[in-house]
Amino acid sequence: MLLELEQLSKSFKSGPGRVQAVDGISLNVDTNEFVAIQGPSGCGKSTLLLMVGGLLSPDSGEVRIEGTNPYRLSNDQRARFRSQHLGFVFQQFHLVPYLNVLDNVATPALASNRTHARERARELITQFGLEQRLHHTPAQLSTGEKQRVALARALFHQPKILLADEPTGNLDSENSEIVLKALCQFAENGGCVLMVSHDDQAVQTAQRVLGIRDGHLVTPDESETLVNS
Amino acid sequence: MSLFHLVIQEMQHRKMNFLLGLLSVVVAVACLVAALTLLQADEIQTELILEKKSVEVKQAGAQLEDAMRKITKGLGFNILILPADEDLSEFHLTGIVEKTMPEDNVTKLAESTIVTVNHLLPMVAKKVTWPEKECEIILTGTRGEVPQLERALKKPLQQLVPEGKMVLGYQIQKKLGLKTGDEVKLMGKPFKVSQNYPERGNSDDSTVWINLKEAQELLGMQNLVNAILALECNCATEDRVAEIRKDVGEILPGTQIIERGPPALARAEARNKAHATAVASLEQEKANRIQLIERHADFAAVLVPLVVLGCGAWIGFLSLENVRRRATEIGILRAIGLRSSQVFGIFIFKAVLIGLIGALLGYFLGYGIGVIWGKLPESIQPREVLFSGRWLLLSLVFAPLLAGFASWIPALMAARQDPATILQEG
Repeated sequence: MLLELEQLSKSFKSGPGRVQAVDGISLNVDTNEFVAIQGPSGCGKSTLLLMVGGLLSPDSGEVRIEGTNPYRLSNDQRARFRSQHLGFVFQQFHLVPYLNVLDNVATPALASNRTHARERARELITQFGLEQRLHHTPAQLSTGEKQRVALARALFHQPKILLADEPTGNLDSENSEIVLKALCQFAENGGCVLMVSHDDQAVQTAQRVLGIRDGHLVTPDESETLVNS
Repeated sequence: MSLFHLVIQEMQHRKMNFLLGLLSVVVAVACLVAALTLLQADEIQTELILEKKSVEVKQAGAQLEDAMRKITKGLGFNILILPADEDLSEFHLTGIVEKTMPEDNVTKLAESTIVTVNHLLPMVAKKVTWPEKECEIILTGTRGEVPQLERALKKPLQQLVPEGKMVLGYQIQKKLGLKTGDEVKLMGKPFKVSQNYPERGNSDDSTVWINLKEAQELLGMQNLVNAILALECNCATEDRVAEIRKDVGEILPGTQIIERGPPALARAEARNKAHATAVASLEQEKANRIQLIERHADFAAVLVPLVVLGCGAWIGFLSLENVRRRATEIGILRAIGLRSSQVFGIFIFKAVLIGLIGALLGYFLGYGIGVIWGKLPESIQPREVLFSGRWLLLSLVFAPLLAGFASWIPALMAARQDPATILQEG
């Protein structure tokens, strides 16, 4: 199993009490799978994704990626593990504002000292149809182009798992389609995608759709009820 | 893609942050280098001034010496009028005049119209044993100045030793342990010590001076004198002694005249005085310059640390602001796998880079200020004396250290930021 989540829980302090963002979630995702988790804002989707991504330590439970629990690694080992196994795509793109497209896509090379980083970045840029925008900064790109750059960056190290947090949240339908198609392609090519979104159209692209309510994963039927409600 | 490239791109993007940081480093380094350069310029100027002053003083000393020589020459010289039968060879050997001449000779000279001699002092002098003290002395009786009828009365050059008083030469007072005010007896006659002369290094040191009349009585030389001393004599011609001999010979035929006191001594004294004046002037100038340099050094010792501290605080503030602005960037860099030490390195590397650029600019700015304010003479090339590779190296070490230390805490804060919190907020 590529990704295993076992009884993951996370709560946050909020005012005098605590909010249970994720409560005992267990999930298995294998290669070639595209899983979407749907739920309203603040339901714990992003928290779940950050925990899977090795960025937010769970209060209890375990995350295993190819059998390795990243939270049992040291900070530096976890950072290296992240760069080797995981790719991130965010709604806000989080591109480095002063780097051009080529450099933004090649940013992960900073973590790995990968040789031929620019060649790899050019390859991805061409793949996403951005070769004309090679030396443009994020401020000179459209939102769709920005998300494609972010996606290219996430794929730089050929990760096993792609974590996407509302990847189409700021995009028009045309660009959403391009991004979702890319995610599907990634899954088909042996990777796995875990996407959180509240966008109905986006989640329909996934092979498996789960809902999240009060920190719990719910079944597809329950999820549908949730979406309708 | 490298951290260097990332830092350079970020500096180009946030120009204001970079320029303000750079300005701080430039100000700190320029202040330090300018202070060092100015102090160096001060020292060079001091050397030059003292060197120049030394030459000036030497010239002035020579002029003063020459002037004093002329003045002493213009003021006249001293002669001694001796009895005709005095053996001059014996006199030069012993310093004692053996023969006598009538005291009346002084009156004749004083009442004459002679203009080449001044200040007439009749005297008797004889080597005797001071019976009460059992020591040999030269007993000299002097009457003080005899007024010359043809001249207006001047202040006498040599005071009369009053009756009953005694003046002692250095060796006598030292040997006998006598002080001013002591009462002694000389050949049965009571005297009071009225003055003790300092050491002169000649027969004066073994001389006791008393009133002429008393000396004549004690020595049995009533109305006789051994010599007449004439002070500050003036002559129009080069051969001054010959001229005076001629003038005095017409009034006191048969007397002998010799010059008293070697002119070389007067010149040496003049030279010594001129030299002492020059040395004192030079020392004064040196002390003034040292005081000035110390004042400048004290000022720099207060100003430079203050400026450096201020600039350090400002660099720290700018780094903190930079970290705050780049929070999301830090989050995403951590998410894609950068270690916290790499994030720390990004900020420290930027600070060190600013430090290095600032050090170069600051050094040359400080050097320029030092050259302009140091005001060295045009004959000196500032590059040769003020440019210091050691200080440049010091700046290149000091500025990156300053910037690095100032950015240390902000860089640590950046490295410790929780990427999850940032990305959740972003």
